[in-house]
Amino acid sequence: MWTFGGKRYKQYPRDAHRRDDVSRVRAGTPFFHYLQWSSDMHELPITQSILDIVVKHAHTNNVKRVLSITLRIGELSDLEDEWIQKYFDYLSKDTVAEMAKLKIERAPVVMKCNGCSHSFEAKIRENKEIACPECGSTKNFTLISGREYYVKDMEVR
Amino acid sequence: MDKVRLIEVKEDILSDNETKAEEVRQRIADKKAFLLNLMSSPGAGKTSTILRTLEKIKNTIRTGIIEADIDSTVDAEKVIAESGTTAIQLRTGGFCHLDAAMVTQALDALNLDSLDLVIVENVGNLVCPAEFDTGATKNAMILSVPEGDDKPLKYPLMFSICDVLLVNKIDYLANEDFDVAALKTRVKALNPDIAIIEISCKTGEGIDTWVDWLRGEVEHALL
Repeated sequence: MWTFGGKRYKQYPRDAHRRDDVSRVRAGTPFFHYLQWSSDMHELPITQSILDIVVKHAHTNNVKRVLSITLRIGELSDLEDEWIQKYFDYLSKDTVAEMAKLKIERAPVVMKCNGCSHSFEAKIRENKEIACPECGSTKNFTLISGREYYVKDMEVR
Repeated sequence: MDKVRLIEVKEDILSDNETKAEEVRQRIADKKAFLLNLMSSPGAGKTSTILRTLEKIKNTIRTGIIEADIDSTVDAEKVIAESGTTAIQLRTGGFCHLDAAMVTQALDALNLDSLDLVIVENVGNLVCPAEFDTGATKNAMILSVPEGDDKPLKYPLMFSICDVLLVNKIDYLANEDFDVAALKTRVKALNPDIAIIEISCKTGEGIDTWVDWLRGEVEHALL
C-alpha cells in the first residue's frame, strides 16, 4: 500500500508524475523514482514497510527523532544498500524518521548437516561445492538461517 | 536535549505480505484447488511452458491463469487465443513482482468453484518475486539453458524457495557449456527437497514428466 499526498494506493500510481494528488512525486525529482520503479528492484516497497514499522514504534515510544535504524538482512536476500537509503530519504520526508541513517547487518547463511548435525556457515555465492566442514558431506543440509528480513532496533531521541 | 536511546524493534519487514499470503493459501485449500506460482527471468519460457502444459491438461484439469507481465497484454491474449482457458491479466504498472494482495485481487475475478488449478505467471525477474510470498500452494521456477548453470550462485533465494525447478530449452544443451550435473548439485545443496525436471518447450521433451508432477499436486489438493 502506497501513501502519497495523504491518499493511499494499492499500487504505485503509474501516472504519478502527472497527478495533482501525488504531491511528493511532483515536488521531488519527477520521473526519478518512477523510472527506478520499472527496473529490477524491490527496494521501494520494502522501504515503505520499513518506514511504517519505524514510525509505528516511534509513536508508541514518544520519540522526537529517529537517528538510525538497524536492519538485519540474511545473505540469501538481495538488497541494494545504496538504493534503500535513497528511497528511505525520499519516503521519510516530513516524518519522525527523516534523515535517519539505515545500517544493514548481514546475517550469514548457516546450514546444518543432516548427516552429522554440525552447523556451519555456507558461502553460497562462491563457485565451489558446499561441504560440511565436519564430515565432508556435500548434500542433505537444512537451512538454519540466512533469510532474516527484519528491523532490529533504532537509535532515537 | 533528550538523551539518545535504543529501541528494540525486531519486527519482520515482510510480515504484512506473509499474513496475506497465508490467507490466500487457506482460501485455495478451502476450495480444494492448487495454486502454482511460476517464476523465471524474462524469456526463460514461462508463457511457452504454460501453453505446453495447457495442451496436456485442458480436458482434464480446469485451469485459470493469472498473468503478470509488465505493462503488456500480449501474454494473456496468446494464452486465451491458443487454449480457451480463463486468464486474468494483472496490470502491474511496472511492479517488479506480484505480492499476495495482487493475487487476491486476481482470485476475486476468477470463479474458484469451477477451477482445480490456478497458475500465476509472475513478473519475469529472479530477485523480487523470491522475496514476496504470493500465497501459492507451491512455487515453481524455470531456468533456461542459455542463462547459464551459475544462476543459483547469483540468485540463491529463488532456488531455495522453489518446490520444483524446470530446466527449459534443453534442446540447446549441445551448443552450450551448461553443466546440468553442476546445476543440480548447487541447487540441491541449497534446497534438498526440490524436484528438478529437464524440459524443452520446443521439442516437447520432458513435458510429460512435468505434467505428471503437476497432476500429482492437483490430485493431492483435492484430497
